[in-house]
Amino acid sequence: MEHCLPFEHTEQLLKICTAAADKASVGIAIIDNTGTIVFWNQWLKNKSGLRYEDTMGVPFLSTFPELINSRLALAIDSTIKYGLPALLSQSLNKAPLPLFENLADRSQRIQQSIQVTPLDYDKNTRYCIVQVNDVSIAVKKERLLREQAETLRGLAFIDGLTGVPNRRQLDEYLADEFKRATRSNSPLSVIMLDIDYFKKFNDTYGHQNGDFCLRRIANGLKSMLRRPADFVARYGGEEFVIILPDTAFSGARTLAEEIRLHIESLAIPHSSSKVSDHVTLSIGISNAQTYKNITEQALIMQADSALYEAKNNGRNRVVVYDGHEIGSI
Amino acid sequence: MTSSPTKTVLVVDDSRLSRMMISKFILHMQPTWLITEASSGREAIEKAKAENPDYITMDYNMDGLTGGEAAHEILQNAPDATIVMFTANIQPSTKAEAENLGVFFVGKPVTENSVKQALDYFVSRS
Amino acid sequence: MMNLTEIQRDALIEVFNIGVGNAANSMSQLINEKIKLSVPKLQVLANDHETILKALIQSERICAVSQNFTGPLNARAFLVFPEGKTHEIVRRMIGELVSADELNTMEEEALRELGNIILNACISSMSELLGTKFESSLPIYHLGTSCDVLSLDNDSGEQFMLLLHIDFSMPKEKIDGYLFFLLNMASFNDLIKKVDLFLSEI
Repeated sequence: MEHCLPFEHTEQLLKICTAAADKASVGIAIIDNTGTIVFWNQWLKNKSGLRYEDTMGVPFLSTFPELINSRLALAIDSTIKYGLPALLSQSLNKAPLPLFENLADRSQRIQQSIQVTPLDYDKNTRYCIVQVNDVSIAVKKERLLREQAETLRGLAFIDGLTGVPNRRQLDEYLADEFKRATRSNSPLSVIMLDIDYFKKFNDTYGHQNGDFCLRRIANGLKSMLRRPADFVARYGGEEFVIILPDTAFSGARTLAEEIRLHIESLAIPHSSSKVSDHVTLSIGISNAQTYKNITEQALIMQADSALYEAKNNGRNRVVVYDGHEIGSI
Repeated sequence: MTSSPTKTVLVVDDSRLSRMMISKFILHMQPTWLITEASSGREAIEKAKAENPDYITMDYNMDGLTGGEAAHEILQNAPDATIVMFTANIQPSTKAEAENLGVFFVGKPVTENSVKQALDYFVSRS
Repeated sequence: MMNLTEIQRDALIEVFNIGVGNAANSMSQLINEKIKLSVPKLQVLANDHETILKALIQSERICAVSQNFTGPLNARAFLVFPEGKTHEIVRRMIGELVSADELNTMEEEALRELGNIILNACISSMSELLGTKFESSLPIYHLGTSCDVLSLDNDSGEQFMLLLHIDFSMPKEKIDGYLFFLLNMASFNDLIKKVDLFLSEI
């Protein structure tokens, strides 16, 4: 077969280009310098439901009077006038054109991202191409991903910053363990701890380093837990809670002291701490042995007040809540 | 445009270039008119009081008082003042402010055409 | 050639003043709110950009949208925000009802559009006042150090930079943006010639 120059005949080229534009799976409209629609491709016909005579040769703004003075109209206007391309993002422009996936249900417009490009035909004639991309799927996908991520986060109850369980999971875990301990009448210990002068740390080293510090502490705490049932969670801010099932006071106290020394030995610099050159912890412990007059909330509150005492007594120390007495070790 | 008897125009704009251009186009169309200039809202209020011009063109975005504030004060002193807000700030809110003040709005850039719009308004108010 | 006369400076400021005015109009259509504008401040900077940039932006990392303009003179125009400021701007423009995650995914394209509006408006104004025609690329989004973003290291000959400082104030948010126009020596001279030609006709 002989090669022919494919686009020798303008007419043939015109047909091919028109057909191509009609096959395209994006919207393509061409508007002339008087604001009149001179081309409206098949995709746009399908999604707008407008007939040939509603668009071809009709001023764009007569077809879409709702767009008078809109951002899209201004963009077309200035593209025609100055020959500069314009971009309409779907985030800032909520579906400017009345285009629908299903013409029978016009309640939901197709989400659009639009590009307006100048086309200089000759020295005196400028057209502009309005290209419409359907981003509904991308928008839906984003929403779906976001929902999935939220579900996953919700299910896992993981604190995003430190990767340890968050307070929600702590509440559930403590409730379960408290019930179990009540049934089996076994001891249950709660450790609550707080990073000393953490606000000053943030002020000195910045929040990014503050986040980094929280992650190191969280990892340090995780590494200190020995049994599968031992549980650490971020309680909020710079506070963590550890739950130790089947653990009596003495065991909890030993572990708490080990944790305190371990974190100190990480030697995370903390120049604005008043108690050390490094990051240190104040720790409070509570314990339930019998379950007559106690709830899991009270257990947390007792650990909290022991922690409060640890801070009052000069920080970087462990304090236990023992019955009604609070004693330092 | 038919030539009118001598009128005075106060051109208020913080851009020297804009004042020059506005003056040039006015004098091109109305060679007998007298033009004074002010480069801030405050100065405009002083000159409006002292010289009592027939017409005023007023820029909007200026350091210190905005054109809207200056026009407001001028109109307090002289309710019959004929003012055109001549500005690059073409937002609907600025147009609405001009309308509320009872002053005519013309958008920049300063061109023969835009200055003519202002002059047509002035002449229509005479 | 670096120094502009007062009237040349005035002419350039007026060009950008009109451009920014048009941009604010488009933006107010988008967010349905009034936008307050300051008079742009103009500086011409030579090669020693880095220190100046840091002083101006007070941030190592910047977020920028750029477009390349070609025509009677070639320029790369940037709209620049300090990193970290863009979040609030976009939130204001998109509305309060979006989650932080959603905002992140929208931020880049919203900023591209914002940049496109402002840069186009300034170039349009230049082309109208100076009677020239420009072509332009679509906006490109950048995030990085000011040096990387503005490609200051691979200096192709002497570069000049027109720096404009503009404030857009929305009812609850002040946008402190900078516009940079990066021009080489030849284009800078062409620009000045155009300005002079325009001034000679007044």
